[in-house]
Amino acid sequence: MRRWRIPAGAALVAALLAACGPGATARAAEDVAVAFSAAVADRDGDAACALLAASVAQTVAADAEAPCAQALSEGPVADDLAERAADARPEETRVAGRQAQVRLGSDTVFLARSGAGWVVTAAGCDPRPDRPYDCEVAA
Amino acid sequence: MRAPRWVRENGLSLFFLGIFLAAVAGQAVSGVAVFNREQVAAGLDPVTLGQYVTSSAFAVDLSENWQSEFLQFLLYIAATVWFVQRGSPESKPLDQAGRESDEEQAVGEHAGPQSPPWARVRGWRLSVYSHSLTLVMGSIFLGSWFVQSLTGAVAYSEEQMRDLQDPVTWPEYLREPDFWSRTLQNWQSEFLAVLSMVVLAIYLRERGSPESKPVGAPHGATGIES
Repeated sequence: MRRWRIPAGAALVAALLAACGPGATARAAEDVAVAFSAAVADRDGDAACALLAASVAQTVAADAEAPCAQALSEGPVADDLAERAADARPEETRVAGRQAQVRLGSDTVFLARSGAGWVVTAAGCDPRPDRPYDCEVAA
Repeated sequence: MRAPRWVRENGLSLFFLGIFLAAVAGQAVSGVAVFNREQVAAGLDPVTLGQYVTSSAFAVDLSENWQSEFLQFLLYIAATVWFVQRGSPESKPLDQAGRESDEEQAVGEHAGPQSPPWARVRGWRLSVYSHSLTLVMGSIFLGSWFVQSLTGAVAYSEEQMRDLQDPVTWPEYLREPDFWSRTLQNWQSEFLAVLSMVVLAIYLRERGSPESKPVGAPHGATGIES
């Protein structure tokens, strides 16, 4: 598992912290991604939706024409996320300022810092050459 | 009521320090408003002013402008040693291009009692002091550019992840068009400003400004300032 982090702020601090290895911020982002993965694996829609950015939870509900918690506990999106969560283990966490990306086995999760913690901005993401990730859940 | 003598004798520095601080404060306040508009639109909590001014987004905007300004003055100081411009008050007289003699520069045995100590001695101290202005301006330029590259890498990676794309490392960022676009868009404007100053000052005047020739000086007069 590899983590790197360049915190927002003074460049020298960024360079020093990046050189010092994993930071608390990266670990916090990783914990939220793992918690989201565990929630969708358990079909716990309430817990999963509570970890989403508000705009993402609204999009999930709008797309599913059902409450967010229901959309992440049953149906095709929930099935896909649960399948990805089966082999979820943190492989790499990259943090830059207020954004983070956590690779979890066959899933990639994007997060943003909001208030004192991290929220999921996209999950169930697959890379595409020269294009943004294709994500099951995103705003 | 007259300003104290110390204020009057340092008015130019104080004026620019004051407008610099006001501009930075304005940049911070307007910048956090823009940043928070994007945060709220994305369903995220707004940041405080303190969080914003310690962010990479603010630092890269600040440092990319700093580096170009210091490069401008660095080149201006160095280029005017060797290049002249007929009619420009920014140029030395046409026959004085180059480093000039020790006598003209008042160094070594030609130094006067008021000369700085390092101008009076031969050796490395005179060499360093003879280039101290470009050394310091050049160091600030390189330092600012380095900070721009570091904070730019973070800010660019933030944008990438916000758009659901992979972040970049610092070495990768140095090869990104974003780094060179930010750099060169600032450089071109600085070079144009210097070019304008050198050429326009041949024909145009500002009465009383040391950056201008006297109003009645002929257009062809070179190396004359008020």
